[in-house]
Amino acid sequence: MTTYRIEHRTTYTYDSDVTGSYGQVHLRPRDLGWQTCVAHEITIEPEPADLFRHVDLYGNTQSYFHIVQPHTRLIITSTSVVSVDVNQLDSGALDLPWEQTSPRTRPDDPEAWEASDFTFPSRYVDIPSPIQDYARPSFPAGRPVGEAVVELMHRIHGDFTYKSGSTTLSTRVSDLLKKRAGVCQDFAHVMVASLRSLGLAGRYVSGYLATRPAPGMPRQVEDAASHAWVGCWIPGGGWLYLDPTNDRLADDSHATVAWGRDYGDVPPVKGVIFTEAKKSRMEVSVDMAEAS
Amino acid sequence: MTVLRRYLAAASESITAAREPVFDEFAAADGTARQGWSSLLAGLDEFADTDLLQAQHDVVRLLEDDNVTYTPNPASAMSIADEPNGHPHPDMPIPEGLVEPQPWRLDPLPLIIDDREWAGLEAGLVQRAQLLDAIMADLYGARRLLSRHHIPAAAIFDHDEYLRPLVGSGTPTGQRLFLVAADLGRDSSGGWKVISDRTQAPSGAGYAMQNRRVVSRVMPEIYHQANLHRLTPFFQAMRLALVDAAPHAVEDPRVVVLSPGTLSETAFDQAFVASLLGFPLLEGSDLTVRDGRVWMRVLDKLEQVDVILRRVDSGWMDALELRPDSRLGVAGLLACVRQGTVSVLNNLGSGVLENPALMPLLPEVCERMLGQSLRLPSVDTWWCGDQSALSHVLSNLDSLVIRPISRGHGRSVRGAALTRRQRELLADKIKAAPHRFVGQEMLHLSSVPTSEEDRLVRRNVVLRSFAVRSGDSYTAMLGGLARVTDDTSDRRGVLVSDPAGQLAKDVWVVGSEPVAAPRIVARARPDDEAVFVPAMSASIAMVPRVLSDLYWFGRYAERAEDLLRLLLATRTVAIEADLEVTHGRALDVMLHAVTHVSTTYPGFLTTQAEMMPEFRSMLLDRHRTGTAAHSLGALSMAAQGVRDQLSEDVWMVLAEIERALATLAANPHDQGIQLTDISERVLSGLLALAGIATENMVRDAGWYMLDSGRGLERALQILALLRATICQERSPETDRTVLEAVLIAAESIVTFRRRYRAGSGVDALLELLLIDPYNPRSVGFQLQRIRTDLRALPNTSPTARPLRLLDSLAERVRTSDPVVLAESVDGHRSGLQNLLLGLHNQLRALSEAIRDHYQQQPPTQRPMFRPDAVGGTA
Repeated sequence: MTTYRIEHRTTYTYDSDVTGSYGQVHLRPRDLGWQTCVAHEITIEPEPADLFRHVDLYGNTQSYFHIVQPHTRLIITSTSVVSVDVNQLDSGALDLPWEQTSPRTRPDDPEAWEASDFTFPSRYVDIPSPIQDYARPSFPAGRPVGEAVVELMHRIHGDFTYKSGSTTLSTRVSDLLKKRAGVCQDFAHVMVASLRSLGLAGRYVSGYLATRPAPGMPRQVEDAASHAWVGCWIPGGGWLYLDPTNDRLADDSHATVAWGRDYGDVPPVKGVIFTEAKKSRMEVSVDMAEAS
Repeated sequence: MTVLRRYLAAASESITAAREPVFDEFAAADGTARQGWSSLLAGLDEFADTDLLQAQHDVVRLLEDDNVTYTPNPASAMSIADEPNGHPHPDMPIPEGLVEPQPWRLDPLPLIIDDREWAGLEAGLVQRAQLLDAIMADLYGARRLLSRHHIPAAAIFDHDEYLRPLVGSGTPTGQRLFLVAADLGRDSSGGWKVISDRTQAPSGAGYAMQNRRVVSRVMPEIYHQANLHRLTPFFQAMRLALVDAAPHAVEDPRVVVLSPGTLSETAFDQAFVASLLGFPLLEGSDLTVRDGRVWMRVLDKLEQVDVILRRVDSGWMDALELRPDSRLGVAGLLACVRQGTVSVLNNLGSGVLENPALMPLLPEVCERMLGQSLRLPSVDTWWCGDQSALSHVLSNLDSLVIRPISRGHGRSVRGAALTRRQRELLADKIKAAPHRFVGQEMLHLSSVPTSEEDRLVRRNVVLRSFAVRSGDSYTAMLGGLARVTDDTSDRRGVLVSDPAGQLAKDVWVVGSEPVAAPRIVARARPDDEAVFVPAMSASIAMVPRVLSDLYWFGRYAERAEDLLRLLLATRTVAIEADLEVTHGRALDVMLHAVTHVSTTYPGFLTTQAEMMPEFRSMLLDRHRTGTAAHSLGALSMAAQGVRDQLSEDVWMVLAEIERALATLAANPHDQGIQLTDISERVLSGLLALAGIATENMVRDAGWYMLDSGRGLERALQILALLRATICQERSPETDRTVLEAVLIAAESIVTFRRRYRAGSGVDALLELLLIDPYNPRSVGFQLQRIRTDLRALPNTSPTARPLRLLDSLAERVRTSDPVVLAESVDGHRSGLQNLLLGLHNQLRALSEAIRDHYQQQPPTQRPMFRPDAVGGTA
């Protein structure tokens, strides 16, 4: 069990006044079998006129805010304390032949209908036919699902280059397959699309990854950032979480904030503003430290 | 033999001869007329070919007079069998094609249904609405239908309109599905079946009422003898239900109708329903969210909105949580819905019920949820998500209609109409994602007598019916919107979901006895739908967009009117110039003035310009800025935006003007006689428009805005005319002719002659047209008029910028000395020229100040941060 204090700050600056700003954030870490959100606070400058909290259909906590005070700078700071354990999955479940882990093939499993929500194309995860061709080699008939998805993760990690700025939100999975580069969201989207192309349920997870400083070096704020990884439904076992960007299973350095079908369901911060400003800038900083 | 009897005879003959059973709405198999049609048959006893033509002609004219239009939507043209052409990103806005509203087409003969038959249909519609409502509540609430596999999850989860942000929002206000429509057709045995359900934001109720109004005016006697059930009670029920839907105990809830705008497919229907209900028609930019509530941005304050009847599809209703690029809704709306401060009708997400995959399940779900058997069947439907259904569909592609479960996936197709290549492509598509498709039987549909020139022909008919929430249940419209396909057998069974190119019919539900009283709510004058006047004046919403449209309505009306006067005055000079050479120079001055005042450069400033073609262009060329046609087009656009605020007479007048211009356009060889005649007709139309504004419009903020627009435009036009004509001194003969033409164009010649001695000159003219505060055609008068208008508007302090600008303008005009201004040096009146130019600039500044003060739109809506620039996180 590791406890972290996470400070996540998003700053927007505009070149002229914003007279109204409506935002929605997914910033509160979830309470899960292997994770407890001990404390959480959001501060917004300028102070919003309204701040409502809501739990969505996936169980994520989201907050809505509205700022009426004209401003050229908006700062959203989320401070959380969260305890994380390693999420152990029943290894028997992971030995199931992968074909039997598609929600479609498990009509009697009481969780299957809900898991099937994660088998269809979604706003940011299209499922073009080349993605199935890409995923298929890791899934020969009868292979245990645990082995298959871990190999898929290895391959994505090996085939794709981490390169910030190489993609945008409107980059489609078919483009990513050609580009073979992207950021953590793209790694996650490619893997989710691969799983779905074979009928498996794949979800997108948004959260934080703690990084450990190299020996003898002080920990730097920029080392940590908001992160994204992938969940794959395993009947009888729950969800197996994998981090294709770092080629490892999610563990107690992954703090889960929210999950959905893709990035679009759970962006940390999104919003609509009313302004004549032509330019905007966004800066994000995340500090994640083990709490003493 | 009359047209109907001829149809009867021919129909019976071909029905008897047909190999398969055929159902005709009018002609029974034994050659007699069906129940319910007898009054029509009797009433049209002497109805001959020419009467039929006349009736069609009258219908067209009445529809034009009310400007009843339908705008085909190019985005819906892509079918599921078309070759995919790239994968457009779902966030990309749909490109707006150039779409022009098309005239609504209506057949004078109604579809008649006997009320005993209707009763069964009605019970089926009401039950279906209750069932769909129960399904909706479950899909967005407990989701038991999914967890218990009563509805396969794939049919819902992969439907574009299943909006997850709304799941579990639990409709805290307890709002239920409000308006449900169903498209119905008959099978060959004559039974009605539902072809498709409409639950997103059903359109057509307004068209149905409009059809009724036109038909009742074209055939008043038959209409009155027909023991006909009225439509008005349906709209009264709708109005009550909207008020009832208010989320909290508000005494007088504010209800608004939200439209995607004047370019949307069914803009007429939206505006007409709004005015029938007496609720304001708004657009997204008229609304804003604050304090977790929705507000309307009226002139000087915010007014809370309690109920939104939306004609905008759910996905576009909130840019924060749904489609990020949408400006058709209001950002933050979902938060308000969750807070329970506003009711949105139909409930957001209701489009998921427009889902043919549900159709085969309805009988069972109906038993389960309502404990009743389903009264109104759907057309036989096979959902391909089911293995055996899939093989049935694939092996019967030829005889089925293939529909996607979600309308966003493309238009439905008839298997038989596809090429081999298309069929293969479609089969592959179905196999790749079977749960996204259904196959449906092709309904035979019934035929109905339909006018085609001077005879009646058999056409297939589809009926759209409506049910609206009423207490704990639903009330069906006693009638509906029928549509017939233009060509016969080839399109038989095609899904008549897209009204483009189709002919509408009124639907009469008739009894064998006179209909005693309206069955829903008593009305003072239940009998007169032809003159049904909506209770609208109480509901006027003075949002900036509406004020802006009214202001420009005033300005364009005045601009067109002044140009026509100038053209006519110039034409008079031209006729005189033909007789007397000395007028030639004056004609040049006036022709140049036409170009300068209208800003239709280069116009007469080039030497090649010929008068008649140029005048024609000034009247007819809509695409040339500054022409009368251009002003009239802009006027019409402004009027569309405030349709619910304008008297219907406005449309009648505009239609008359259009007809006049069409007459001229149809005669390219006109030598000028018709041009003058048409100009006068258009001018008198514009005068009628001014009269409607003066005599028939309530003096509210909208009227004052319209009137100030008129005043400001008139002042600008006079200044432009004076600048183009009298700033130079020419020969006395020329100047006399020019002076007179200017006075005619400015409609002040009579006063001038009465007031000033013969031979009076520029100084007298300036006194009359520039300064005189009592001449309603002078600049000075307009300044006072605008001042009075603005002072009558709320939120106008004496120190408001528009008033300060007006004060300084008025001062400058009042202190001008016409004698000094009329003096010239070397033939130039440079003092006058400077003054006129200065006043012109000040007036333009005033117009901007009026815009900023009264018509200020909110700043541009943008995403908090352009996602394109996001580099992503770790």
